Amino acid sequence: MNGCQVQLLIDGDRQSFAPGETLAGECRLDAPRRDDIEAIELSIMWYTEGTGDEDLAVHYFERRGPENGRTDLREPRRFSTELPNSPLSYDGVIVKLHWCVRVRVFLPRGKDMLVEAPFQLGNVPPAKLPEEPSA
Amino acid sequence: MSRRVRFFLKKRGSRRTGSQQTGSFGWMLFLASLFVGGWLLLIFMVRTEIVPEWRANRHFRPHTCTVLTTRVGEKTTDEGKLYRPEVKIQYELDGQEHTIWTYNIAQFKGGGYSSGQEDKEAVIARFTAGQEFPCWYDPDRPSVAVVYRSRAWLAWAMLLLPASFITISGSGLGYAWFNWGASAERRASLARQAQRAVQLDRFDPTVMASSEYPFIPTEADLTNSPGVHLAYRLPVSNTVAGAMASLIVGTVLWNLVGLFFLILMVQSFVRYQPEWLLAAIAIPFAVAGGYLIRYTVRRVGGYAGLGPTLLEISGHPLHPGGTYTINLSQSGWLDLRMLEVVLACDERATFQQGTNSRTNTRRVYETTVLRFDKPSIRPETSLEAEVKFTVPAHAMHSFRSGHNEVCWRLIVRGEGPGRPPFERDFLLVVRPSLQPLQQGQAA
Repeated sequence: MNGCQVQLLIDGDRQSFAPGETLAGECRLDAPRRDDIEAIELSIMWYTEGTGDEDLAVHYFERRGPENGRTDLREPRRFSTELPNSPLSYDGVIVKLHWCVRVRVFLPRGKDMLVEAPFQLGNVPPAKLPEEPSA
Repeated sequence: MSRRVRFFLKKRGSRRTGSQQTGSFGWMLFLASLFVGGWLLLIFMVRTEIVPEWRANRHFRPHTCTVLTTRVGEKTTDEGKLYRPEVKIQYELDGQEHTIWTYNIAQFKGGGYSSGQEDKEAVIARFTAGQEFPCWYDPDRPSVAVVYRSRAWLAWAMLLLPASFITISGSGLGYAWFNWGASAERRASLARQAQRAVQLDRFDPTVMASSEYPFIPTEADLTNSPGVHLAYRLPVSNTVAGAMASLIVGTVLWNLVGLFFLILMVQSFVRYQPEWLLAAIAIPFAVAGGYLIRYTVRRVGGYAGLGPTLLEISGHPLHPGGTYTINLSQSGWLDLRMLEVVLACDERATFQQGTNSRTNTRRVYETTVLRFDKPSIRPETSLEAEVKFTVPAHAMHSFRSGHNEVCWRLIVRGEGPGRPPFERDFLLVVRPSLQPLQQGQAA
């Protein structure tokens, strides 16, 4: 570890959103030196989990790196996006769909660091098998 | 958590996912070898085939020569004998006399051979010894001259091979280079932008619907047929005609082969020279053929007398909590033990297992919306019924991504005495209800 830390804050400390609502927050990076961070990517995205191969899609993507000039990537950065109507978060039996804000920090020597803040989009309850007796 | 390039990433269930960067490196290495190989092949072909012929056609100077003699040259290869016409000529340039065996420029590289001796004899018959003929000589090497200037179209066409190698591997290399070290999120973002650009470029009418409800299949194909009683007639999504035809053809072929084996076996026994190995193959083959006939008759019989199933719906797409009316019309000539219409939701997950792609399906919701016990369907009185059903209020909407899917469908299912059950599926699109979250509803 090079002492780099990431703080990912969602406004209102919310974990649930309805489709079309605005998700906003701030990303703060704490690193001893400016050169400790090569680039940073912030994504608001969903990915699947379960039996099938993983699918993922990015709804909001922002990258800051050397292509943005000599900006100090440690400066706090706000983000905001209107969430889409679909797909909603889903806890199925063999298909699960998770939404999250993901920050990927690219460090020197090919290393990277991931921080995720999960949230729920919509209010679909977990799926149950039809044969499963209700508890 | 920080990490370096690894050969393996985390285990997912019983499978281990590979390292993206290691995979990309291997793929780039493969593409680079194809790219370099393509260029080497291209250079070789241009130098040996294209350039000499182009020079002979463009730069060689016309002259006159005397034919001394002719012959058909031979070369023995693995594929048999190959031939070429050879003409011995004499010509004078700048006071110097040249006597050479020639025909076209390919001969100076040791080539020009092909099959067909008669063709070559016909070619040399045109050159009479002692007569003068036009020829073309190389101004840089006066000892090189030809009496025939050809256009090797085949050589030009063969350039397509290295050109395709270079194009495909070069494009792949560029794409891999562009994505090298790019995160999965960045690649997904770029892919999304590219997909949008393509859709907009094509004026795709589904763009609006798909951008409003991403990753929900559009209902365009499900609402383009108006109904007689209700708004839309739903198309059947699982047609069995193709599967039945394949089954019948397979059964016939299998049993024809089995019959052939049986005839050979019987003949050997009739000649008192029994072929026991043949018998060991033919008898199990015939038994399997018998079982196949029985299975095919049962499968096909399951659909005998069954007419078209028409299902109409009052609205589409559907929404959780919404109530809809369906109208069922089942024609045919059959008696059934039961016929029902079921609303079902399936999860489908596709994954790679080795080189195979496998799909798991799990039903997560099923409810019967209409049921007939012991219906009797006759040609003059098709079975018709109209019923309302409600999509569960908190149901997951339809969803489709590369490897994962949630799909809703109405299934018309029947069982009859003496016939296997049959099913006809009608896909539905369920969109999310856009009600605001109520306090405490979400986890």
